[in-house]
Amino acid sequence: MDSKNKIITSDDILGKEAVDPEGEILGIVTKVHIHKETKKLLGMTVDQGFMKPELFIGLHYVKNFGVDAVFLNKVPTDKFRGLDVLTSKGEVIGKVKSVRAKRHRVQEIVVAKRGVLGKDYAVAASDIDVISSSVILKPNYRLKEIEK
Amino acid sequence: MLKKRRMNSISTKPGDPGAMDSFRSWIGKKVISKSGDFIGKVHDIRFSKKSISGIVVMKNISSLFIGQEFISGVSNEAVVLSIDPVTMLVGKKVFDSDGKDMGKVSRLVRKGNSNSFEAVVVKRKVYSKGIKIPKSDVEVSKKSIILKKSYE
Repeated sequence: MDSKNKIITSDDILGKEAVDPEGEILGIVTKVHIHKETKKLLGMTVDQGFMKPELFIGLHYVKNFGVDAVFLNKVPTDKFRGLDVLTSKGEVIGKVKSVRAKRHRVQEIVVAKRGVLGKDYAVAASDIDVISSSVILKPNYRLKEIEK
Repeated sequence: MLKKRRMNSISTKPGDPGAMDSFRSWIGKKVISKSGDFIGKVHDIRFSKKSISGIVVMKNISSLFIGQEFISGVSNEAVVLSIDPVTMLVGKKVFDSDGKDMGKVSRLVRKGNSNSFEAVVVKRKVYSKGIKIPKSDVEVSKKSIILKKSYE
C-alpha cells in the first residue's frame, strides 16, 4: 500500500503549475518526456504563456511533484531571457539576450542595448547585483562590447 | 523632463540649484524594488521638519509610503529601493510543502510599520474563513509563498 501511494500518473503532473525555488510560477506542465528505449522519465515541457517559448525542464530540476504544483530545485537560466537590465540607479540599459551558465550558475549575460543600432554587451556575473524580476547591476559595472 | 534653468540663489549652503533634483522631476518616476519588481509610480513626496521623509507610491488605487532610508538609487527614469516591500505579498499564491494550493494572501499581520510580518492570512475564496499562518511556517516568500509544512 505504501509503495502504491508513491506512484503517480501523468494525470498528477499534467496541468500542474511549475514553481521555481523563488516561488515564481513558470507555467503549466503540458507534456512529459519519456525515453523510448530506456523507458525512463526525462523531464517535462512547461507552457510559459502567450508569446513565450515552451520550456523543457529536466527531471534533475524537479524537487518534488506536489498536489497542485511541481516544485523545482533550481531557477532555469532560460527564464532570464528578455528581462530588463537596470543600473543600480534604475536606468534601463537594455534587455537580456542570452545567458551563459556553467553548472546552472550564471557566468555572463549578453545584453542587447536600447536603441535601433544598439550593440550587444556582455556583463560578468560579478557585476550583477540581483537577478529576479529584472537584472540589476552593481554600481561600478563594466560592459564588454561583443563583436557581431 | 524639465529643462534646468539658471537661477539666482539665496542660500547658506553651497551648490548650484539648477543642478539639484526638483520635486516635479520625481513625480511619475517608476519605483523598482530590490528584486527589480515594478512597485508603482511616485505620486507624492512627504516632508517632515524641512527634510524628505519618503515617497508615496501609487499602483492602481493602492498607495504605499516608503521611507527615504529605503531608497538606494535614483535616475531620470526610476527610483530603486533597497527592500522588497512586504505589502507586495498580498494577493500572492500560497503552496504548502506538498504543493497544495492553499489560496491567496488576503492580509498581512505586520510588526508596526517595519518591512516584516508576523503572519499571513490566507483565503481560498473571498468569503471563506482565512487561515492564519505564522512567519515561522513560511519557507519562501518571494514571487509566491511556499510553506515548510503541509496543511490539511
